[in-house]
Amino acid sequence: MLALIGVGVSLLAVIPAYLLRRWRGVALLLGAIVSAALGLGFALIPMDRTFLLWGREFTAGQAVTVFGRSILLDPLSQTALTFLFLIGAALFLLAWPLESGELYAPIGLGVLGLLVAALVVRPLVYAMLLLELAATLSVLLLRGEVGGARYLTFCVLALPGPLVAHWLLDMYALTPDQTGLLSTASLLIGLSFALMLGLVPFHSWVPALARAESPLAVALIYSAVGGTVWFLLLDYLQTYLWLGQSPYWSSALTLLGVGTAVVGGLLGTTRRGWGALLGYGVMVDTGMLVLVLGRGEAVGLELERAMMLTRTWGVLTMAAGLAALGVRRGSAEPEWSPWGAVAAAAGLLSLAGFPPTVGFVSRWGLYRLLFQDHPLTALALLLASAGPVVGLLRMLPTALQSGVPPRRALALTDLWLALASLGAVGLGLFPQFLIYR
Amino acid sequence: MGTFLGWMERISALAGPPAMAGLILALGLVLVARRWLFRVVGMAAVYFFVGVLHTQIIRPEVVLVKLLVGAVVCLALGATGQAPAIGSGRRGEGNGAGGEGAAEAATSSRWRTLLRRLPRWSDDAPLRALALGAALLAAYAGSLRFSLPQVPSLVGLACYLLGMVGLFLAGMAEEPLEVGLGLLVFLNGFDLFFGALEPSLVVAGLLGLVQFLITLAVAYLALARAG
Repeated sequence: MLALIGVGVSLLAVIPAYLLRRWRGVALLLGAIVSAALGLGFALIPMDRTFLLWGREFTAGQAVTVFGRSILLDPLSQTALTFLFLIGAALFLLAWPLESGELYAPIGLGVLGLLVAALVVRPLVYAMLLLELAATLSVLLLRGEVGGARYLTFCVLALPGPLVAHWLLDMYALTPDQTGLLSTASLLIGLSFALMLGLVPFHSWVPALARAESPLAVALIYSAVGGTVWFLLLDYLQTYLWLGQSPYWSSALTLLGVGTAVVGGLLGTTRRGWGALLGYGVMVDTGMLVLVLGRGEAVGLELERAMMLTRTWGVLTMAAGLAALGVRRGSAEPEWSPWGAVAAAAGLLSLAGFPPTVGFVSRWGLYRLLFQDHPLTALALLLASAGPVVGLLRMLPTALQSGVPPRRALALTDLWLALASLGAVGLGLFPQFLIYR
Repeated sequence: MGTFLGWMERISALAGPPAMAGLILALGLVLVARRWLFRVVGMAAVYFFVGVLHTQIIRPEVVLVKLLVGAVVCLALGATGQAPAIGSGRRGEGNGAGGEGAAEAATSSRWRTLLRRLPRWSDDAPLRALALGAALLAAYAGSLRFSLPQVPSLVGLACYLLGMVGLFLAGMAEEPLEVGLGLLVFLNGFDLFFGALEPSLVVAGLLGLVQFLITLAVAYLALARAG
């Protein structure tokens, strides 16, 4: 029941957020409050707690049926919903001083509502359709450069796979001797998730999106939409256990993961702008996540969740830094944002897994896991991680040529950026607050 | 409603070779023509013929909903393509007589002026026609080798053809609106196939909503790009 309330509230909040769009700050504050309240609600309310609504008694975790489809909140969905709403709250707070678009709050809330609906609806065929709707809606936050159309193309191409796979699995339930149906379904599901995650060779939308689009809009796509794709993939693995038990599963994921990380690392050494660096950093991180998923062990899944949290922190910090740098460049003031540069660098270092940032914590676990059996793979991943750092070192001189900024009072933007940057380092030094609870 | 359903029954008589031929012509118009109006008309014809083919596999009420979605999508695409910011960028690249100077036209003979006013093909028309031929060939071979389940063979061929042409369109596109055309054609092909697998009204509605949002998204991207 709580899941339905979450979906309903976030979608209904679109209306006041849209009506208040002229007062951008108020609309964003509303979005942040709604998202934070829902995120904390999902984190803190026990799923067996009962409450009264319109004179009827409900349990928080109780499944409900809407139009014949089940809305269900399991422990994985509960984690995912908390994660999504807290990301939403952070993005709305960051967007207040850093994002100039009037529609960020209403569209952001709409995207969050659809993503949440995708995570709790069953069967999974509806989840894919709702995810597609959310991804398409998120395009309305972009500026019309080539990355937006490319992202939309890959999302649309990813849609048929899981839908047809769902029908194939229904057929398999009726005719269990036809094992070819399972292989085709695995292939279709794998291909669709590879398109949506931007794995090599379907990676071209990832850097193209970040290169020219608004950083906080890109952060919403990388962290909220991307995070939902990951949670849905984990959902698929939980629902269809045979998918992870396929003999090719581990090898395919290792190959795709290492390939994506290495290509991201190599391209990350080039000087194609700060936005592209964010995209390459995300590619490296995605490669590592895919590799961890291929391990399939319990420790691998725990590591997966830790890496998703640390990756999100890195993406949000870097995007906020880039937005601040862009805001300064776009304004009449010739000064640049020192805290923006710090946040962009801290975020990228975290995405690259550079110590002592928060990204390093989860990477350390991965390297330890890999060095025992696959030292060469671990070495390739270490070198791939160095790619975006080399790119950062090549970009920094240009950024520093802007000169020493004149003295000015600290603004709200600086406070947000400082907190995000300090968090990226602080959580790296004290990771138990983030991971080991 | 009864009148509409009566119409649906009448147009369902076209399902089969006439609808397939119409679909190929409509796809040719969308793929080869460069003037936006022609492409939108082609897109409307694609939606119509896909609807006709749909009558073989799903209920007429659902087909009616799909045709309505197609009408809204084509109206939105047509209106966006005619927007001044986008239209000014398109003038001169089309296959009309635009771009020629008035003085030159005045000095030419009447016949030459008339010939110039006839639609001209753009430079890449042969390549696009070749792409259509390749799509036809690949779709035919694909439908023979990997025939789609639950649909008649002609509908299977139409699904492959729509998918292939959609991919070609999206791949050859230079602007968001053209990418959108490709994605919508691709989705039409998938919808035609998936309608037979999952005839649920909710799925049909959600797929229609996806198409509408894609139209909205590419229209927004095109306008944002044109500034």
